[in-house]
Amino acid sequence: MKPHVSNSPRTATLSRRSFFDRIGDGLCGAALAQLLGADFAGGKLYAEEAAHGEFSQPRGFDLLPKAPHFPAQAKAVIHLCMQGGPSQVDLFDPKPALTKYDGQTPPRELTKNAVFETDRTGTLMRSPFKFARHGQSGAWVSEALPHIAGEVDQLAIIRSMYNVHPNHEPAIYKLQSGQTFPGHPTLGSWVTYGLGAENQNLPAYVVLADPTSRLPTNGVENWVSGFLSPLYQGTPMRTTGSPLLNLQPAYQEPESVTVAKRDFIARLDAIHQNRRPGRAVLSARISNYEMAARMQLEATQALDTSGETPETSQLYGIGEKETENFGRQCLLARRLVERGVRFIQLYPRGQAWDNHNNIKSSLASICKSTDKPIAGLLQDLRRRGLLDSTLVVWGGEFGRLPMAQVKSKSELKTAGRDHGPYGFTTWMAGGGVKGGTVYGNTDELGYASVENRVSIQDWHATILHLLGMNHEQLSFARNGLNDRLTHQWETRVVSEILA
Amino acid sequence: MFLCCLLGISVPFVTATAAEKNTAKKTAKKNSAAPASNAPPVYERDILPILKAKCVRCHGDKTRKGELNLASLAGLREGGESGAVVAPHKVAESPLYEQVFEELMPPDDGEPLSAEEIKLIGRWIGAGAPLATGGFLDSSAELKISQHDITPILLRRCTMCHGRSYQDGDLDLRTKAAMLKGGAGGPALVVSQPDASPLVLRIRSRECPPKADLSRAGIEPMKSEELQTLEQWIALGAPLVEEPQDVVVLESDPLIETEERRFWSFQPPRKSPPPVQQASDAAPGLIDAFVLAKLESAGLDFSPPADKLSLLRRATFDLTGLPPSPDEVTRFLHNDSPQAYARLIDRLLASPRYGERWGRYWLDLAGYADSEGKRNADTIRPWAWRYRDYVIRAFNADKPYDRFLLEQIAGDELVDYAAKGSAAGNAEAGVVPKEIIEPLVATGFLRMAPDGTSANPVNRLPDRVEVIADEIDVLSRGVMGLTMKCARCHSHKYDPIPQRDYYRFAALFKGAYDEYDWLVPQVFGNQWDKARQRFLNVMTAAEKQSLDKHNQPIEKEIKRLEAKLKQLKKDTADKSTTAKKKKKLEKQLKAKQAQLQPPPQIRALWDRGDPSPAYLYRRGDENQPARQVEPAPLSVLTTKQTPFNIEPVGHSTPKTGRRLALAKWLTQPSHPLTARVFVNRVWKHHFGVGIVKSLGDFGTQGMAPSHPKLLDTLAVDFMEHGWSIKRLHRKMMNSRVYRQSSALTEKHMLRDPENRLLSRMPLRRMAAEEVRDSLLLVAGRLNERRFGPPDAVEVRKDGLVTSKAEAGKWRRSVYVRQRRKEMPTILETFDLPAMNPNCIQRMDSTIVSQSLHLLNNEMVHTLAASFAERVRQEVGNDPAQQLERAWLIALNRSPTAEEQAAGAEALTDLQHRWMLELATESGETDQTELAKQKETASQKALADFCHALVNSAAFLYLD
Repeated sequence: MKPHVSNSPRTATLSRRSFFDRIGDGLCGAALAQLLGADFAGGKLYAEEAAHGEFSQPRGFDLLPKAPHFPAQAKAVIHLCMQGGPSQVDLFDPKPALTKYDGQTPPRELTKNAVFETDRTGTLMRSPFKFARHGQSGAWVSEALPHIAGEVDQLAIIRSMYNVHPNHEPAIYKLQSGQTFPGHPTLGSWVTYGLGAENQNLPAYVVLADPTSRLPTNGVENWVSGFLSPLYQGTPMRTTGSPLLNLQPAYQEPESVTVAKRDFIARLDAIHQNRRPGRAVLSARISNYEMAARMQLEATQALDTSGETPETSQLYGIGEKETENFGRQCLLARRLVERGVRFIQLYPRGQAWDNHNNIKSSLASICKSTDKPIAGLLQDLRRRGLLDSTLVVWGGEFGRLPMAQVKSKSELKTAGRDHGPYGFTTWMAGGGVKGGTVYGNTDELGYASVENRVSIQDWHATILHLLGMNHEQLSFARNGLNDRLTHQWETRVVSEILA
Repeated sequence: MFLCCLLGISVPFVTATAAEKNTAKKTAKKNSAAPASNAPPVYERDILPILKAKCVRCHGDKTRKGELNLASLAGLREGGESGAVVAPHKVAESPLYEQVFEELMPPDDGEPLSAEEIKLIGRWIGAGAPLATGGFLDSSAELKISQHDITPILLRRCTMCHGRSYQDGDLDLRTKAAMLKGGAGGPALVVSQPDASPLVLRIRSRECPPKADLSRAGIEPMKSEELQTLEQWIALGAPLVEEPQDVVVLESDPLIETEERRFWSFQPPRKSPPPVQQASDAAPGLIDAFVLAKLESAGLDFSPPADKLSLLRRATFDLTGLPPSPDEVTRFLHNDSPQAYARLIDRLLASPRYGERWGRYWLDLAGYADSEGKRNADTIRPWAWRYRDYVIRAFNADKPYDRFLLEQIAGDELVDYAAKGSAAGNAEAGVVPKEIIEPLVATGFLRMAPDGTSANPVNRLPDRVEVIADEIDVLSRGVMGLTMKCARCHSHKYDPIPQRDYYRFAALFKGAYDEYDWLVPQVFGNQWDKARQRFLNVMTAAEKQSLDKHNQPIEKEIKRLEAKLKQLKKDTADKSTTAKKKKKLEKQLKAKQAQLQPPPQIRALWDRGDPSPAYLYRRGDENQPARQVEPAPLSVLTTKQTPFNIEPVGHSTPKTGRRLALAKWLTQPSHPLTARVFVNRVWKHHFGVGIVKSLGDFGTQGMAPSHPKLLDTLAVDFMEHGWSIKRLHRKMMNSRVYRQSSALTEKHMLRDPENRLLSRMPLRRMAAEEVRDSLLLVAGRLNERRFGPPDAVEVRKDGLVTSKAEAGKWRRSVYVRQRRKEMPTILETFDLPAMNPNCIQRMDSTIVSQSLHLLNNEMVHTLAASFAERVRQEVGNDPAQQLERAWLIALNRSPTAEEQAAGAEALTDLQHRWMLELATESGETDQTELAKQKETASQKALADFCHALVNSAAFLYLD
C-alpha cells in the first residue's frame, strides 16, 4: 500500500479515505487486512466525520488477534534475553583446538573478521568446562548447563550467529530492533503489532526483569515500540512482591460503582480523543484503561503462583537460592503463555553473562541461576502441550572471544573473556523448530562465524517466519519508506532449523 | 612456529567469498614495486618509500592520526596510541601489517597498497625489521627503562602511603630525589644496587604494601614484572630521561585534520538576520521568522493560536510543573489586556515553583541522587541535597548560565574558603561568609556519579577511574553535547576526539579527582584508617550560631552526665544499685548525644594542588599507562578564538587552577558548543523536540539541526544578553510558535508528520513529577515547604514505594529522597529515569501499569477524596457547581457541553449507585437515616467523580 503523496493536485484535496490509509498504512499485510475488515469498511466512521466537520479518529491500532500471513505452529514467544554475551566456547561450541593452543598468541589469520578493536592482550584460553554429547542428537553441551543438556533434543542450536558491534548498548539495540541506535521498534513490538494478542485481558507483550537489577542495560529501550503505536510496548512486571503493583484496588468499593467510574473515564477519554484525532498515544492509553479493567481478575490469576504444585515449583528451581529469581520468572512466563500472552521477555540479573573476569566462576554462577529454570520451563511447556505452539528463544547480544582477558600473566587463573561479536551461539526450541539441530559453525577457535553465517536480521526473520509472518510484508509506512524489523538488510530465513 | 601451523589450518575458516575477494583485488593490483630479490628488505630502501606514498598523508609530521607518525624512523619506533605497530619477527602480531593486509588501511579514500607491497612489509617484519645501517628497528629501545616507567608503578602501589597526602616514615616515593633523600630509615634507593635498596627489599619481603592495608586501601601488591622493572631501573643507575613533553598546540594539531574542524557544530555560532517572509504579517519575532520561513517553504503556515486557557495551562505546567489555580484561571480569562500573556510568563518565572521544575531538568543532567549506588546496600548520600537546593535557587535567581557553570565546575577555585583557619578534610569547622558557601555547594555537580569507592571491594583503581569517567561523561554529553566515552580506550571513531584528548581532559580534574590520591565518598564500615572524605566543613556565622545555640546546652548536659557517671564509678556503694544507676545514666547520655546536631558539611569537589602526573591509559587500562599528558580541553574546540589558559590560583591552599581554566574556556562567547547545547535543551523542553534532536550529541553521529540558523542566532543572543535563562524562556514562550494550537490536521500529517517544522505544538503527557505534584496540589495536600533534607520513603512488602507524608501533606517530588534502588513507584511508573550516571533525555512510555496506578493505588484514591472535599468546601453541595469547580481545579477550564452532560450524568449515576449500596447494607431506615445516607452517597459519588477526572486523558495530557 503506497501512500498517496505526490505533487499532483490530488494531494491538496486528499480524500478522507486516503488519509486513513496514510495513518493506517503502516499496517500492512496481516494487520491491515484485519483492520480494513474490522473498522474501515463499515459506514459508521463516515457518519461521525460528517458530524464533526473534520476528519475523525482512525482507530488505527489495536491488539485484536490477527491472522498471520501463513499458517504457523508458534503462537507465542518466550525470549530469554541473556544480555552480556554468553560465552559460546564454554557452553555450546566446544573447540578442541583451543585446548591445544591454550596460552598461545591468537593468530591474526584467524581474527581476520575483526573490524573493531578489542582487548587483545590475552592469549588463547581453553574452556575450563568439560563438554559432552547429549540426547539422541548427540549435540555438545558443556557441564555448566547440565539441565539444558538434558533438553538438547528440543533445541535448534545456531552456532554461527554474529553481531555488528562489540559494545553492549549498540549490540543490544541491534538485537532488539535491527538497528544499532535507539528509536526503532523492538522484536516484541513488531510481533504484537503483526499478530495482536490472544488474550485481551493481559498485556500482549510482557517483560519480566530480575528483581535485583531495576533495569537491564539500555533500560526501557529494550521493549519500546519506536515509531509504532505505544500500544505495542512491553509492560514490565516484577518477580518479587507483587508482579504488577496496584493490580487490585487498594481500597474497598462496590463493583457497581467501579463500573460506573470506569465508564465515565472511558466517556471522557472518548470526548477528549475525538477532539484530538491522529494521536496514537491517546488510543494506546484508552486501550490500557480498558485492559486495566479487564486485567484485575485475569492477571491476578495469571500472576498468582500459589496454586502451583511443589513438584512444579521444584522443576523451576523455586525454593533454591541460586535459581529462585529466574525460576519464578520462567514459571510466570509459562503461566502467561498459557493465557495467551504473545511475547514475553525474560532478563536475568544485570549483565551477568558479561564475564570479563574469572570465567570459571562467574559464568558458572549465571549458568547455575538460569540452567534449571530454563530446562524446567521447556519440560513444563512440553508436558502441558504448550511447547508446540510456543517458541522459546535463548541468546545474548553477542558471545565472547576465545582468548583470555587478563591484565597480566599472573592473573591467568582468574581470566575472563572479552566481548565477541564475530561469532556466537543462540538456540530456539518449540513451535516449528527442528529439535536436535546444530546449525552453522565458527572457525576452529570459535572466534568468528564462518559456515552458514546467521545475521541478526536472519534471526529476526526466522522468528517472524515461525510465527507465520513474512519479514518483508510486516512493515510500517513512515517518511515515504516501508520500515520493517529487518530494515533494508539482505535477509534470509534459516529454513534449515525449521521442522 | 605456531603461526605456521595455524596458517596451515586457517584456510578452511576464512569465508570463501572474503578470501576470493581479497585475492582478486590483490591480483588486480599487482603492478608497482620491484619484485624483490631474496635479500631481506631494509627500512630505508624498501619500506619508507611505501609508507611515504601510502600512509604519511594521515600518519605524518603534520597529521598524526592515532598518534602515529610513519614519516620517520623515530615515529615508527614510537608507535601510535595503542602502542608499537611493528613487532620484529612477528608478522601476525604487527598492527602495521595487519591493517594493510586486511585492507583496513588506507581507508576508503586512500590508494591501497599492492599485494607486492604488503608482502614486502611482511617479509621485512619477518626478518626482524632490519635497517640499512645494519641495525634493527628497536634494538636500542628495548632496555631503555627510565623514571617514566617507574613512577606509574609506584603511583599504583606505594604513593597512597608515601606520596602527597601521607609520608609514612617520612618517605615520599614520587621522585628519585625524594627516594634518595629517603625517610626516617635512611634512603630508600641505592643507585645501581637493587639488592641493597630498602625499597626493593621491603617489597620483596612483602612488608610493603602492608598486608593489613591491601584490601582496605584498595591497593594491590606489586606484580613480579613490575618489581623486575623497578630492579632493572635501579640496576641501570636509576636513569632520569627527559621525555618530550605533551605540548598543547592549538593550531595545527597533528591529530586532527583541518577538514574535521570544519564540522558545523565546531564553528562558533554566528547570528543570522531573520529571513524575510513572503506572506508575513507585521514583523514577526526572531523565532517566528525562522520557523515560518521553513513552514512556508513546505506549503504550511502556523497553526491557529491555542485557546487562552490551553495556553495558560501549557505555560503554567511548562514553567512550574503544576496547574494554575482556579483564581489564576479566572483572572487570566477575564484579562483582555494585550499584555496579559506576557505578564503571565513574567509571573510564572517569578514563582519559586519555577526553580523546582527547571532545576529538576538540570538534576537529570547532573545525575542527582541521594544515594551512592554501585553496592547492594545503596548507601544514603548525606548532604547531597544541598546541591539540589543550590540548583533550584540558581534557576529561581536567574543565575547567568555562564556563572552557573563556572560555580559548578570550579566553585572551589573561585573562592578562598580556607583563608582563615583550615577547613578541608575533617578539620575544625571554619566560619566563612555566605558567598563562599554557595560556589562550594555548586561543585556537588561533579560528585553525583554512582560511587562505591568508600571502601573495598569497590575502591580499587579501576573503580575510581570509573567514577572519573562517569563525571567526564556527564560534563561532555550534558554541557558540551559530545560523546567522549569512546576516546577512553581509543580515538573516537566518528568525531575528531583523539584518545590523547580524553586523558588531557581527565587531567583537568586531577587536582580534585586523583585516582592515586583518592577522597572517599563517606564514612563506611571497615574503611581504611587513612581514608579521607569529600566533605568540606565550612559554614556561615549564622549556621555556626544556630548550631551552637542548639548544641551548647546539650553539650553542657552531656558534660554534667559524664561527670556524674565518673563520680558513680568512683562510688563504692551497693553494687547492684550502682549498676542500675550507671545503666540509666549511660542511657541518658546516649540520648543526649543523639540530640547533638552534626555541623553542616558540603559534599564538594576541591582542588588540592600538586596532583599526580596524568597518563594516557592504553586501551583504557589503568595498568598500561603510556605517555604523560598535560591538562587541556578538546583540541578540536580550541582555536585562537577559544584560547585556553591555566593560571595558578593564589589562594591560601594550593590549587592548580585547571578546572577554573576549563570553566572559563567553556563559557567564552566564541565557544562553539556551550550556548548552543543549552539553548537547544531549553528549546526541547518547550517544544517537545530539540532543534538538534540528539540533546547529548552534537557530533557527527548526532542529528543535524532542523533550524541551524535559528539555533545559532538564539545562542548568540543568549550570550549577548548575559546568559539569562529567564530571558530565553520569555523569548521562546512569547513566540507565535509556542502559542500555536496543538491540533493535528491532515495537512500536518502529510507535510510535517514528525513536527520537525513546528507546524503545531506537541501534545505532551505530564512528566512523572508533574503527575504526582499535580495530584497533590489539586487535592489541596501539597506541602510547599522548600529545600532541606529529602523526605523519607516507605517500602511496602509487595514492593510499592511511597514517600512519607508530613502532617497529612506531601512535598514536591523533587524533595523526595532519590535513592537509586527505591524510587517512589508513581514516579518510576511514569518514567522517572535511573541515574546511571545521569539522564540526558527522558523517554515516555505508555503502559498499563500507569493506568493501574492511577486507578487502584491507595494514595491516589485518598487524594481524589481530598480533591472532592476541597470542591465541596469551595462550592457546597450543588452538583452543577461541583462539576464546574472540579473541572476548573483539575483541568483549568469549564467543561464543554458534551463533558458537562457526561459529567452530570455520571455524578447522578454514581450517587444513585451509592444510595443503592448503602440501602442494601442498612435495610429499612427512617427519614433522618435516609438523609444521612443521601449525604454520604453524594460525598462518595463526588470522590469517585474526582477520581475519574484525575484518571482522564484530559488531566494527564497537555495540549
